[in-house]
Amino acid sequence: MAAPDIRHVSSRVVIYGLLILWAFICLFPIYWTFTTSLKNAVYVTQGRLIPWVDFQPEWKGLRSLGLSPDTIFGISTPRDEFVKRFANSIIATLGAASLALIIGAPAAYGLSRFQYRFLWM
Amino acid sequence: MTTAAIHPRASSGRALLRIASAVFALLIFVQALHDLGLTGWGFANWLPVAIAFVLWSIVYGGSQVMIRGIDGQRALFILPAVLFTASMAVFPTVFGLFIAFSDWNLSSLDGRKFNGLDNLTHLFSDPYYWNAMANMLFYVATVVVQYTIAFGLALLLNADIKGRKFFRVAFLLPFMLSPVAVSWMIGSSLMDYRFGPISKLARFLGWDNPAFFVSPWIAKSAIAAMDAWMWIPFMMIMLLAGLQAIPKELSEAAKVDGATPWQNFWQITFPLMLPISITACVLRIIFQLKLADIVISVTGGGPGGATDTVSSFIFREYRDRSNVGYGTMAAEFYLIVIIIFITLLLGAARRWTRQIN
Repeated sequence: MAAPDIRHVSSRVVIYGLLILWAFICLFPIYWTFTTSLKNAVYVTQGRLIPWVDFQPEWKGLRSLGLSPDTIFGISTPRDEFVKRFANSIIATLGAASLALIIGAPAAYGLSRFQYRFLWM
Repeated sequence: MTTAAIHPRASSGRALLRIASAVFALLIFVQALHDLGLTGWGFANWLPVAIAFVLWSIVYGGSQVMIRGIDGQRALFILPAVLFTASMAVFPTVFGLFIAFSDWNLSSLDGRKFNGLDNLTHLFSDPYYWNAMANMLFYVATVVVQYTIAFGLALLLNADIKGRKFFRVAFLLPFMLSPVAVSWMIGSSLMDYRFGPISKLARFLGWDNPAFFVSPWIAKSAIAAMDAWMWIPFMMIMLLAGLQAIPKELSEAAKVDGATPWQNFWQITFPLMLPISITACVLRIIFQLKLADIVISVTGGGPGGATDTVSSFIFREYRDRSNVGYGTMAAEFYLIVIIIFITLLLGAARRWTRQIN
């Protein structure tokens, strides 16, 4: 009873260890980006990692975009510019996705349902 | 349907198609003459011709129904896709050949000049282009490493674990980020020589001088690692879908027959996963051949062209030197290389699967 138990436990440890390692690899750059948006230039160039412990977080990045709590209701040209580009992204995404769907869906149906002969093929 | 019933409609359909094609061709002819400066009358730009193409496509679809009846109706399903591909992919590629065989630099005053095979001979003797081509071999080879890691992660996610949803979302996140943002986050910030946490970790592990983008092979590997970070989730999710489609009874039966987990994987899981593995790898290789965004935003092809890809080479040719003619020739030649390479790859993959199964 004891031997398979140890084997089971060690395999569990390896599996969860690998899962957590890869989750860290995936999430750390995103964490780093998010915390960098809250840093002063000094904190960025010193590579501080943990908010409140290593550095004092502020709404630096969001304020320069006009999206921080103290600027969000004010007038902000950067925010207008940002929103304009964001709208462009949405229009491009929705346009491409709907075009692909409108043209691609009938073609996929037709190709899977019927036989077509095109030129010599 | 009798022939008497089909004939009048079919012949009127043919007549309609002929009229529409004639009008469309006439329009192209008139506009081309106008564009070449041979006649004084025509449209200011080619937009009316593009609209005429759309109208002609509609008439073509309608005439197919009239001429061929039910077969024409079936053709309507794929006709939009065929005409879209023809007008948006095939036509520009063929038209690009005109540009490819011409000396056309946007910053020179002369404009476009036909120069025969000059671009092609220049291309064959351009060391930077062939250097980029050699780098592509390295980048494509890294797909194997990415595939191995992705397969491992898919197996982990397919195992009996707690918190599978969390891990799946966490593993997929890198794929959802924009490549340019990834380049900045990892390439310029995390790997920064002075303050980047990865550099700090490397110093801590005993590498005194963690400069990631200075020596050729380290720079190449750093780009490949970044690319892997972003694209492994794509392969992983495909392989995971494949793993979940394999019935559990097979590996359980093998277990009962006394197969070790190692045998179980190589004898049961891996062969069953072969078709989806090949699909994932081929798709990934096609994407990899277009790799450009990370290289452009992190190294710009440097140091000394060590991380350069063909796509980033073409990008620099267009952007920094405005050399449209030569850049288009590089792109057209690369397209032919890709088509040949993918065809050979698919053929080899097909033979290989037939051999194993």
